[in-house]
Amino acid sequence: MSKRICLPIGVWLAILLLPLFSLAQKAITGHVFSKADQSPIAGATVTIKGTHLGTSTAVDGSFSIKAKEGDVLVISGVGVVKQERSVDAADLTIVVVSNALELNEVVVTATGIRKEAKRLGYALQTIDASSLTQAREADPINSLKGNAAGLSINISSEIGHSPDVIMRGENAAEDRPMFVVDGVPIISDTYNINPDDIETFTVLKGPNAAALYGFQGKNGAIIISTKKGTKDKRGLVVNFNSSTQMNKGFIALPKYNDEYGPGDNGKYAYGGGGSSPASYFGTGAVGVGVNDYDYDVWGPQFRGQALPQYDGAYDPTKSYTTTFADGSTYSGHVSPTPWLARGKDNLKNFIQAGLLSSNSLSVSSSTEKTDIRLSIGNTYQKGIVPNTQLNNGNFTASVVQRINPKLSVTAYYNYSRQSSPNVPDVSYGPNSIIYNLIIWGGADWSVKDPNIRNYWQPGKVGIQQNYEEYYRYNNPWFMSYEWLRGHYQNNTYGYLSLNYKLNSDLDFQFRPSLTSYDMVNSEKLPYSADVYGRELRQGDYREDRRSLFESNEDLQVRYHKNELLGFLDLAAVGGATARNSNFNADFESTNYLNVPEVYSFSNSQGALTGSSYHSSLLVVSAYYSVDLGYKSYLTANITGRVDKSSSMPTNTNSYYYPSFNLASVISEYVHLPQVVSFLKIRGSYAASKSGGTSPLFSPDVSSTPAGGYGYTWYSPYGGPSYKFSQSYTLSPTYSNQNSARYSDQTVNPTIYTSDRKAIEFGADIRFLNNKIGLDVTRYHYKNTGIINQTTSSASGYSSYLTNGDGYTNDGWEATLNARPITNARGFSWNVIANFSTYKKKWTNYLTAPNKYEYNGQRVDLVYGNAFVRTPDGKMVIDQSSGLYSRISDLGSSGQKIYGHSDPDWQWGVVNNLSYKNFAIRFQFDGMVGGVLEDYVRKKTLQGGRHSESASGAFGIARPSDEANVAAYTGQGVNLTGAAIQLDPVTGQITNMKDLTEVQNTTKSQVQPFVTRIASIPDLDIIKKTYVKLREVVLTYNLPASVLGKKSFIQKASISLVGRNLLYFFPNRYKDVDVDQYTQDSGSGLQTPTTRSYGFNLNLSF
Amino acid sequence: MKQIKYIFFIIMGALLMASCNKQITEKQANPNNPTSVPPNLILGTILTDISGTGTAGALSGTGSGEGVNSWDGAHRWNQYHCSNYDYYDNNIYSWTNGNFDPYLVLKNVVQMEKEVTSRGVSAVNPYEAVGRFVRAYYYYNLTSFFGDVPQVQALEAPANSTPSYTPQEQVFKYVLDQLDSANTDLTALIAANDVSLSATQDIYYGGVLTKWQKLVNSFKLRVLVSLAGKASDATLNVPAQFAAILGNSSKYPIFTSEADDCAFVYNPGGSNTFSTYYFNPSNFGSVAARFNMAKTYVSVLTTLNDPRVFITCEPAWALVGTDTAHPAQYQYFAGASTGESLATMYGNANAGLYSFINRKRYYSNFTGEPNVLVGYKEMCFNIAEGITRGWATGTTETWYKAGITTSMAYYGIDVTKTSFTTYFLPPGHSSVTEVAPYPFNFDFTAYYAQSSVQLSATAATAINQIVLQKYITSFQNSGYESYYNWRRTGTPAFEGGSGVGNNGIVPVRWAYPTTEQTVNATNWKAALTNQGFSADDLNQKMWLLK
Repeated sequence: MSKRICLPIGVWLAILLLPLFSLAQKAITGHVFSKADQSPIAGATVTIKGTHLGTSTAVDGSFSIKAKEGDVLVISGVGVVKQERSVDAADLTIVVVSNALELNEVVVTATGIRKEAKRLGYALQTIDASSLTQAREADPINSLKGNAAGLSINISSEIGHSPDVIMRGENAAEDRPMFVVDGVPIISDTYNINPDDIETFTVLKGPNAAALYGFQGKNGAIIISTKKGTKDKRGLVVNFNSSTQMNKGFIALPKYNDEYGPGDNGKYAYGGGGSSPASYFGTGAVGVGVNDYDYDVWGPQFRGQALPQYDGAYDPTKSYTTTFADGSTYSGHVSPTPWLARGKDNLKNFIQAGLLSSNSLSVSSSTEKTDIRLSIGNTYQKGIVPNTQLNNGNFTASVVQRINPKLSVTAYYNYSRQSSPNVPDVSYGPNSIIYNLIIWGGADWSVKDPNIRNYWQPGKVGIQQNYEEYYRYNNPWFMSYEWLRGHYQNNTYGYLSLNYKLNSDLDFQFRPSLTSYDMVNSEKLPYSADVYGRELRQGDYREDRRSLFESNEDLQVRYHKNELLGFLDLAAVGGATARNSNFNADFESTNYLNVPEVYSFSNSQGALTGSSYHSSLLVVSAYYSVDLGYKSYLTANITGRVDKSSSMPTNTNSYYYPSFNLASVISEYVHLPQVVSFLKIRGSYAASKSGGTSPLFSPDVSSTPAGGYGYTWYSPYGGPSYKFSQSYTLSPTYSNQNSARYSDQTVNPTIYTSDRKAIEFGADIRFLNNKIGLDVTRYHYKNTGIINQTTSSASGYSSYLTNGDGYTNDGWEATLNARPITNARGFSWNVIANFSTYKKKWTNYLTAPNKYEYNGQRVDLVYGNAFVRTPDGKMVIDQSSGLYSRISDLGSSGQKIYGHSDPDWQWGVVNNLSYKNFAIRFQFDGMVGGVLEDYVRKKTLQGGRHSESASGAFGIARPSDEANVAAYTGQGVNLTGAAIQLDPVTGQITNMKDLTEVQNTTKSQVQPFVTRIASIPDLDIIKKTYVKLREVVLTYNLPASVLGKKSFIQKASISLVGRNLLYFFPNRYKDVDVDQYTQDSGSGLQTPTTRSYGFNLNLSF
Repeated sequence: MKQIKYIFFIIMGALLMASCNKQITEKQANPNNPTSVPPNLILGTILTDISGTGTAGALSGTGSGEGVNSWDGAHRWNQYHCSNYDYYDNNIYSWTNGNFDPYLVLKNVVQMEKEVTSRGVSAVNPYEAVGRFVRAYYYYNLTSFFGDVPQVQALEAPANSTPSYTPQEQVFKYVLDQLDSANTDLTALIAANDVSLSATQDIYYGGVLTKWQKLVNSFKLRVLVSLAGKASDATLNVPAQFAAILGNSSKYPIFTSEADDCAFVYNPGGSNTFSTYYFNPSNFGSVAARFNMAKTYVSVLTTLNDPRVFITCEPAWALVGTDTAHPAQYQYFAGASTGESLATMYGNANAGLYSFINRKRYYSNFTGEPNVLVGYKEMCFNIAEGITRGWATGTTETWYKAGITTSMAYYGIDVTKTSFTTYFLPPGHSSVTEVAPYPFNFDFTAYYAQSSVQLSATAATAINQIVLQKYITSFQNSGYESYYNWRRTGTPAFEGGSGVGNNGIVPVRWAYPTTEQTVNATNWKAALTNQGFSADDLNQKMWLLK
């Protein structure tokens, strides 16, 4: 049929063309760009009005047509608003408005190969970076949250911490997607990426899309396509973007009470003095009072009663006796003062408004031969914790030089510098402000008290902080201004790309690239500051230096020929890569300081201790990709790659990754209902392997003093993990002398790489003239890892490194992209909705299978000790103590299944509305399902600080604790008549028929009761379902009429922006922002997340 | 011309590949850790580990960091003291999931032996001899914890990752044989004047082999006495082995004083974070009130009118009442039953109803008291018990008295004197600087004249007296000996109740590690069957106790 139509058209054209050749015609060239983002429009039809003469635009939007001056060109095409343009120059730049989703979109794929989206056999999602430059995040990758189906971003609210980026729920330690800039891999903590330099993010969601990257691409990739030159016809554009955002207003805050002070058992008396680190005894000793040392917040109620406390005068010649409610007494030298809640809202009073200020300036120019773009940017972040900040500067240069029609060179270089004299540390412990202020700090003292604010003790500047406790806790002001953690990092990446076009079919590309960083983290622990393991409080200085250099040399040969034999489009790529990396790290620490406030290694009291780590990696690879297209109906793509890597043992160090993809545009050959304007189906198979490398590095600090405290920065690494050989570890033992122990792991001599086989199907359907597009992907992974299989320690080794822990990952992803309204009168509405879900299940669980985790079960089971309940759900209370009975208390190892830590599904909806010069963008996202243990609640309950422990029946009974009187009657039943028997697996009662239920009447004190509640996860398990209003951007584009035609400013827009504005968390606690715990089964401490709002200014000159 | 170019490229490519291959092979090795080390470095790790202060082999049973270190779990389970503060610790015998961690240390022993012999040293060498002691030490404890444990097939990974369990009787035979071999080898090495044992990494004896030899034989006495219930066992031949040691002091030298003790000396010096005493000035305020004394220990002392209670404990001030000038009296000392619920114990301890640890003695510095792993005092009582049982000839009372008086002297009670001073923290005060001196009188002759103390002529009674005195002496030392002895003799009576978990009963064994059920299931099941256990629970008796 098609043949019969073709022939007459050809004749027609010939007849029509004939007379035209006689006219004075010349070749007119031009480029068609999208108005929205200046991207080239490929496949648009360009015809001369009134004729049937026409052509279509190429991949780069260019076209060439024979026309004469005065002719009118009509540009049309699917998704493009028809537009006319008279021929007034030999080279035309035509900007069109797209009215629907782009069909012939050209996307970047693995190794930088550009392909038509409709020819792809796998899922891939492109995010326009310009939409992320207004409402900023300190780390631009955070902005991607909710913008791509299957991409999870665990945003960390801490300064300098990178988000955890996870694709399709593959969150194993070695599973992280790679980052790629213009086709070359980079090792990045993602802070070094300036969103103003980026044109698009392309998310390759799995090994199918990223097969050509070998083992680095096993978890997909995030490809960053950078801006080059300018498309502006003037050839020179200066762009300025400035954004200022405040961080203020918590969206989730621990629930605490300010009714009870520090202490235990309702008792507290301050012994006074304050410590001097050199002596624990004598005047000013620590812990001489009653529970005034490493206390809980289970002290007396604030009733204004006289108690010795931190603001009382200390006079060793005087003695004061305090009598407690239980009759016991305390004699000390601190004059009693009224016991009052001086420090209500200490946290809110301590924390300040944060600031994120970002400015970037770029100059870009394009000439016939050269595209140049230079940009500088700086982001300054001021933390909500006083005296914390981060400066992040960025410089980028790119040059494209078309030396001759055959040879072109592209050079790209990015340098960034992060520097901060102080970043906060929120890891659980006395190093954390939250630990000190909320969990274990009472409200008896106020952060506003000048004696707390002036944190040095008089006469002991540099030696002794002033606080109200001198063992475990620290004055928050002192922490902020004296305990400094510097973070400095230089980061570079860049590449040089030489392209040689031998002829129209064949071209070569040689592309060397580098990526490197140097990081220095330092920590100055002042005299009198406490952390776990450093109770002598004599200061320390620690330095953590890391340096990474990686180069990739890539050679590619590309061949493409369309309409081979009249129907076959062939595109083939062959390439070879050598990846070389080198990493050096060392971590050193003093062992207390001799001279206070001198932070240098030569000032160490004891011998310096430390650890170092060096590694190098070489991977050589060869790859190919062949695309065979049958017209535009069907495209088959085959790829293969061989990696040979030094990270694996010799016998298994070279491995092959095949992939096969098929895409078919059904709507081109099957007649579909009118409503369906486009339908493509796709399928893909890929096998990916990896092993022996780890994506992140943090130093082994176990041998340094107090190696256990604080946050040991994770930095991007990607180098060898050296786990395939057994070796000795040297570490200090007795008297700090080094001794050796042999590894507790044996290694399977025939161990192989980990393995992922991925099958993926998908469909891209567009309706109503492409106004609505739906892209659906179904994938199935079959994974086998490299695991530490638990073995009987009696064999001498507790684990065995081998292949195993097979599991499947089945998931769905859907993206809805709709432009319900595109109105010529200026109103338009565009919505993108992303949805994803996955479930991972064991198929060959070997690590440590047990009664709960075994094949067929989900891998993310959350289970543990629980409280005993009757079959109808009543809490069982131990009659003698009046406390809830735990399964373990009855000698059973039964466990309760709490649920799964992975969310049921995740979603994000981004709306873009515009009316004339106004535009509004807003985004909601969230997740549904999944459970985690609320650690903040657990710890505040344990410490007596949680509001619940002071309200309701607890609130009524709690003052009696002070008199050592049990006044709280737990709601539950005692089971009498026989010993309670529990099922050894589920922990459920099995002999209920022998037991008699009696309403509990045994009273308990509140502290033991609440502490019992917090002792196991049971009652602190919460669902992770939440919704966030992630972003709102309201933009006003200054119209050209305002700017004036001859204005020096070409374009201007101003936006009001907000991020993290609303947090809907149906759980009653709402004390933790769960969006950074997508797959975790427990939360950590976090600096409370805040709303962020401000404005953005964008100017083009 | 063009072809030459292509050939050039091909040759270049081939060369490049060849050099890459070489580089890849070179880069495979881990440059950060050695694959072979001198044996003395491994010795340091092993000896630290057996003290309970290392990173493995702490003999904790549970693997939760509890160990045999002073004031660790072992001594709560020996019922010397209690934790009243659940946040840090409790008194539950949480033994449902024991651990096989000591085997990881024994693996280091195997490695140490390999490193010695690979350096061309003869098979009989000091490292090997010390290694045999360490094997005996751990297998003795492992089998005492669990019953049957892997021995014959143990430590053979990767060749055998699922070792079968060896019957307890055979494990004991192995332990005794190892000690025998160690003694023989040490005799030869001492004769040859071997000084190759590292003095710095040998944290107990500084490389002196004669001391190691005494330890080996003294420890063997402990093992033999623990087998008292199996004295008639022909394979083990306990009485004869016991008699052999006592009968030939040149072939089997044993401890002659406390100076010979295998003692872990806590390291002074504040900047050392790896071997400081568990209780010290830096944690006085946070933990001193969170540990109170256990009834089992305190009541043994007060019943015997034993002044050591004035040294290791403080009076319960609520019992002292207004008699604050004379608190050093036995009726003012009381411990909490280990079986008491924590909520009650916490309240009572705070109300002054229980004795605390003597805070001057145990919090004044960073060295505390050495943790004696195997010591002279314990040995005296072991010898006394063996003689009482008729295994050898000798004067029981001499050994018994030597044990008591050495212990008293250790606590500063010179039995030739009658007036003493102790230090307590008075009520209402919390600073160690505010401790006050309190005098007390003590007459050892009168003490020993008590029928409860004076060694009985009846063997059964005498054995209980010996074990009771050994219990007092083993306060915060000798690992699990006090628990093992209670289990063997019922002396002193241990306290049960809800605070000990396990339905209120003090268990008689650990359950095997739960991982054994999954990774070594066949052998685990066979071990239960062979021992006649219906389940891997804490209340069924192993061969040793039958």
